[in-house]
Amino acid sequence: MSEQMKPLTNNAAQVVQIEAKARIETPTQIAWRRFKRHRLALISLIVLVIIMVMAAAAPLFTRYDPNEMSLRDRALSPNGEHWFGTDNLGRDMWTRTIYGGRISLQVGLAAALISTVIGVILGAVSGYYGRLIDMVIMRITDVVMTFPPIIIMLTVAAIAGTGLTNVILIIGGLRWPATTRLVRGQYLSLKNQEFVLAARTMGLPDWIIIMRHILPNVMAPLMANVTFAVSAAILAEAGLSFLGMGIPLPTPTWGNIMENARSLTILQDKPWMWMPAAIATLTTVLCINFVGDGLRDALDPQQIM
Amino acid sequence: MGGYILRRLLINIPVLFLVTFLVFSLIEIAPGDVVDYFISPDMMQYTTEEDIQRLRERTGLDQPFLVRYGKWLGRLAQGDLGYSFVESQRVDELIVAHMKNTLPLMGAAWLMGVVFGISLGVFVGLRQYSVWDFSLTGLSFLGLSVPAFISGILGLYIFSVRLGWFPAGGMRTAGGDSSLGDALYHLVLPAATLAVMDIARNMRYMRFAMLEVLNQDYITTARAKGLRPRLVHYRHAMRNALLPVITIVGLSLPQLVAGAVFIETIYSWRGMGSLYLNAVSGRDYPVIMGVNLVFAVMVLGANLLTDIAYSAVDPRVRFED
Amino acid sequence: MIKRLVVLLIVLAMLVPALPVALAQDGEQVLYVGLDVGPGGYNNSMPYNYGAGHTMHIKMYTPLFVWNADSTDMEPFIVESYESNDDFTVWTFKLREDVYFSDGEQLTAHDVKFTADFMTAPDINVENFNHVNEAYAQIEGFDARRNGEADELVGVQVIDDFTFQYTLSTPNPRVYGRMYGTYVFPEHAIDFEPADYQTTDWWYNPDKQVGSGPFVVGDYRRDEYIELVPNEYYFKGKPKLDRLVSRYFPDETAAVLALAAGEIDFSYVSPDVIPTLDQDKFTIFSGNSYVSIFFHVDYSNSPEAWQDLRVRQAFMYAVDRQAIADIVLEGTHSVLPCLVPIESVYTDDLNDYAYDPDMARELLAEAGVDPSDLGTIDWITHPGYANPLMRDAVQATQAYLADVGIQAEMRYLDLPTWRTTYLAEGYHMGFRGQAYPIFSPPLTNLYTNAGGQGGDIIGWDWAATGFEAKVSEIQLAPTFEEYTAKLGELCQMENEQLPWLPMWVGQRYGAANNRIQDFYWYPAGGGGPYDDHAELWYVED
Repeated sequence: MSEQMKPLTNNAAQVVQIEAKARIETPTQIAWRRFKRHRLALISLIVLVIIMVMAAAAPLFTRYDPNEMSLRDRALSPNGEHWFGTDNLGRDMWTRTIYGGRISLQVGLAAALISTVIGVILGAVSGYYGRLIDMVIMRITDVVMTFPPIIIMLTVAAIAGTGLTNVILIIGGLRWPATTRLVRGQYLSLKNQEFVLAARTMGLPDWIIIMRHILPNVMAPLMANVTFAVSAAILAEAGLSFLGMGIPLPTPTWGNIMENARSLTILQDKPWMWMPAAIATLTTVLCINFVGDGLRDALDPQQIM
Repeated sequence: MGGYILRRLLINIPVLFLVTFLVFSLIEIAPGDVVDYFISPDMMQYTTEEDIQRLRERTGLDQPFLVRYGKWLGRLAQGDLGYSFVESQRVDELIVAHMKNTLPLMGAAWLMGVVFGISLGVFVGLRQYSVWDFSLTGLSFLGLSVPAFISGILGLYIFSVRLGWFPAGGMRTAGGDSSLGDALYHLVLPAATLAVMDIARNMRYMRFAMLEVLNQDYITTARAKGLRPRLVHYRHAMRNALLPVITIVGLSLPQLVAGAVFIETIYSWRGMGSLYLNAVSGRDYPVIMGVNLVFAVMVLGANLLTDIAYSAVDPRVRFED
Repeated sequence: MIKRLVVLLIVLAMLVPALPVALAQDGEQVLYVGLDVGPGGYNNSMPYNYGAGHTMHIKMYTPLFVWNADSTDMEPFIVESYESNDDFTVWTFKLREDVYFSDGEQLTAHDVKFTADFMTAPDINVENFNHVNEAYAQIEGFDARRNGEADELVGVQVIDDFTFQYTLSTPNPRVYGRMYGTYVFPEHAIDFEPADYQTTDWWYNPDKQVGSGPFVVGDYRRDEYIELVPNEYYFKGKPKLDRLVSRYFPDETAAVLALAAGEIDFSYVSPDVIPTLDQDKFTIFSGNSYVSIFFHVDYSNSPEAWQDLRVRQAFMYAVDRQAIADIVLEGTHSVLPCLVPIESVYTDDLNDYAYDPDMARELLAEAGVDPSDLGTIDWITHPGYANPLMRDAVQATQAYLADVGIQAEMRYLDLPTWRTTYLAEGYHMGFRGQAYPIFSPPLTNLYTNAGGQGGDIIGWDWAATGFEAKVSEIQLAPTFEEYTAKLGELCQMENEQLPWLPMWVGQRYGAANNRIQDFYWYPAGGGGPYDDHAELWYVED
C-alpha cells in the first residue's frame, strides 16, 4: 500500500527553493502554476470549456434545428448524416444534445452557484461566530431542510409560473442548507486552530479571517459539494417538468432527453435516444470534479508541491 | 453539553411548529384540493354540484384555512394525526405501516452508503491519482449522472429481466407465505439502487478528507516516528478524516428520502416515499402533514445527533453553553 | 482489510439469489397478473366508488348488465329478460334463478332492492358519486332518498323473488346503458352502514367478504397484491384456477419489466413496448379504447380569433393528424372526425381535414388573422394523457403548427392542478381524452350548457348552436337505428362547427404469456365490466 505514497520526507532545500520562488509570485499565480501541473485537471478544464462553448454556440456546430421534425428520418441509429441518430420525431440527437447543454449547464452551474454562495456565507458566519448567531442560522436551515420540495415546486409553479429563472431559483434555493451545514461543521473545527488564533491576535478583521484564512481549508469538501450540486441540479430540472414547472418541451435539456429511457423500447433498443445526454452529464460532472481536485490542490495552503 | 442538548430539544419545538404552519400554508396555496382529485372533468358525467359540495363538507374543506389548521393542531395535541381522505385510513396507522417498509430500505441503503462509501473513499484516498482512483471515481459518478427513476428502471432491467438474479419489484413473493429470506431477497435491488448515490457521495468526501489529513503535520510526525503505515493510515488518518464525513452522513437522510420516492414507485415498494407522493397528488393534507411531521422530526433529530457526534469526536469543537 | 471486504461482498452477492422463494405447489393452478397497472390502477377501490376497476370488480361481484366482449353492445349478465312500458319510464327485469353468493345463499330481487337503497343512502360515504348517480339518478325518488327525505329509493321495487321494477323520472329507451356497473350486494352479509362504505374492512377481509362473482378474496395486501380464490357457487361454474393473484404496480414500466421477467403473465402495456416483447411468448390483446383524444378551446380565455370557425379549421388543416397517428403513434391510433369514436355511425360527408398547410394559411388570411396575433397558445395536459407516446404526438402537433406560424407551449399538470386550472379558465387549450362508450356517451356532460364541460366554463353556447336539441333527440330515440343515426348527425354537426378540435382515438393493448389458456381480455374503458370468463382460465407450462 505504501509504495504508491509520496516520499515521506521533504527535501529541505527544495522547500526553501519553492518558498523563495513563492515570495515573488502573487497567490493567484501560485495557484495557477500549481493547477497547471495537475494534468487531469487541466484537461478537464479544457473539456469543460469545450462543452460550454459548444452549448453556447450550438448553432455553429450543427446544421439542424433542435426542434425540426422530420418523420421520414425517424428513429435512425447514428450515421454519417445524423452523428447521434434521431429520436422518435426524427429530430437530430446531436443537435438536441448540444442545445440541451444550454439549459442544463445554465441550470446546473447557476443553481450550484446560488446554493454554494448562500451556503458558504451562512455556514461560515454560523460556524465562526457560534452562539446565538449559529443557533438562529441553524434553525432557519433546519426549517428549510424539512420543507417538502414537491409541494414547494407545485406552489411556485402556480404562483410565479414556470421558466428558466424560476427553475434555477427553486433548485438553488432548496439546496443551500446542506452546504451551510457542511461549511459550518468545518468552521467549527477550524476556528480554534492555531493559525486562526494567530490571525485573531494580529487584530485582523473577522471577514478577512473567514474569507482568506479559513475558507481555503474548507475547499476540499466544498468542491465535492459543488460537483454534486451541479449534477443534482441538472437531474432535478427534468424532475420538475413532471410537476408542470420544468423547461417546457420541445426545448431539449439533458434531463428531459434522459427521461426518454422511461420507455422500455428506447431503453432496450435505442440507446442513442438517451445515452448522449447521460454521457454529457457524466462528462460535465466528472470534469467539474477533476477541476475541483486540481483547485483544491492548488489552493490548499498546507500542500507543498 | 447536557444543557446544550436540552436547549436544542426545546428550541426544536417552535421550529417544528413553524414547519407545520408553513407546510400547511403551502398546501393551501398549491392549486386544487382533494375534491379536485376525486372529480376530474372527464369523469364528471353524472356528478352534480351538490355532490361536490357534499364532499367538501365531509372533508372539512369548506372551512377557512386558519380554522382547519387550528383543528389540525388541536387534534395533534391529543396525539391524533387525523384521517386520510384518499386512503380512508387513520394517518398514524398509515405512517406506521409504511414506515415499517421504508426503514429497512433506507436503513440498508444508508448502511451500504456508509460502509462502502467510506471504505472505498479511504481506499482511493490512499491511492490518489492511481488507476483505482480514476476508475472508481468514474464509476461512482455514473450513479450521479442518471435520474433516480432511470437508474431504478435500469437496475430492474439488468438484474431482473436480463440476468434474472433478483425479483422484479415488490416487497415479497405475492400471494405466498413470506419468509425473512424472501423479504431480504426483495430488498437487495432497491436498496442497492438507492445506495448508489450515497456511496458515490460518501466516497468522494472521504477521499478528500483523507487527502487533507494525510498532509497534516501529525501524520508526518507519526510517519517520522517510524510507525507502521497501516497504523498511521487507519488509526490516525482515517479517524481524523471521518470528522467532516459525519456531517455528510447526517445530511444524507433527506437526500435518501428524496431518492426513495422514485425508487419505491419503480420497485412497487409500499413505503413512505410512495405514500407521500400519492398524498401530494391527491392533496391529502392530513397525510402530507403527518408524513412531513415525521420527516421533520427525523431531520431535526439527525441534525442534533450530527452536532453531538461532531463535538464528541472532535475535541476542537466546543458548543458554548 | 480491503481484500477481506471484497471477499465478504462476493460471498454475500452469491448467497442472495440462493435464498428460498415461495413458489406454487405442484399441481396447484396459480396465475400471477397485473390486471390494472399504472398510476390509478386497481388497488383498493370498491364497486360504485370509482369509474375504473371493473376488471377486478367483476371477478368478485355480478352486475345486472355487462358490455359485450368488444364493447360494441350491452348485454344482460344476471338479468334474464327485461321489458318496458310504451313511454320507456317503467322497466321490468327478470333475474336469473341460478345465481348464488359465495356463502351458498341465493341472489334475489331483494338483494337488488337492498343495494339500490344502500347506495343511495344520504350518508353513503363514497368519494366519487359518478357511478352511484349513473346507476340510480335517473330513477324516481332519487333526490328525495339522497336528501334523506325518503327511507328507500321508491323507484326500485321488488315484484317477486326474481323480478324487480325500475320507475324512471325521465323516459330512457336504453336504460340498460346505465346499468353495467350496477353490482348486486348480499343483503344478508353486509354488516356495515352506508356511512362506513369506504372505511369498513369488509371488502378485502377473507372472513367477511361475500360475492357472487367467480372469485372471492383470499388474501389482500394493500399496495402489494390481491389474491382471489374460487367461489364454488359461481353460476357459470367453479373457476379452474386455485388462486388468481393480481399484483399492484404504481408504475407501468415496472409492470412491463415484471412481465418480461416472467413474474406475471399478463399486464396492460403501452403500445411502444410491444415490439420489445418476445412474439413467440406473448399474445397481444388489443381493441378500441373508445377514448377520444382532443384539444378543447377555452373560448372565454383564448384570443378572440379562436371564435372564428376558419381559424379552428386552419388548426385542423395545419396538423397532419394522419401522419402522427401512423408514424409517431406507430399506427396505434386513428384520426377522429369528431368526438364520437364509433365508426359505424359516421355519415358520408364528413370533412376529414386532411393535411393541407396551404389551406390553413389561406383560411387564416381569409379570417384576417396573423398567426402571431394568437400569441403562444397555452396548452395544458390532463395527467392521464402525458405518457411518452402522447408527449411525442403533442410535440409533433407543435411542430406542424409552427410551420404555419402558430406557436404553442404545453404544460403538464397533476390532477388537482388540472381541474383548478380548468375551472379557473387559466389556459387556452386543454389536451385530454374523453371516454365515449357507445351505450353511455357523455352527451349531457359534453354538449349542454349545464354539463361538466358546460358553456359557462369554456364559453361555447351549446343551446344556441343546436347541440342541446340534438342531444335530447338522441336520448329519446326509441330504436337503436334511430339512436345511431342521430349520433351520426351529432358527429356531423361537430365536424362542421368544430367546438373542439378532435385528434385521435387509440387502440389499447394487453400482453398475455402464452402459458395462460382460454384467456380473454379487452381494453374496455374503466375495465368494462365485460364477461371475461375468468372461471375458464388456467395455466399450462
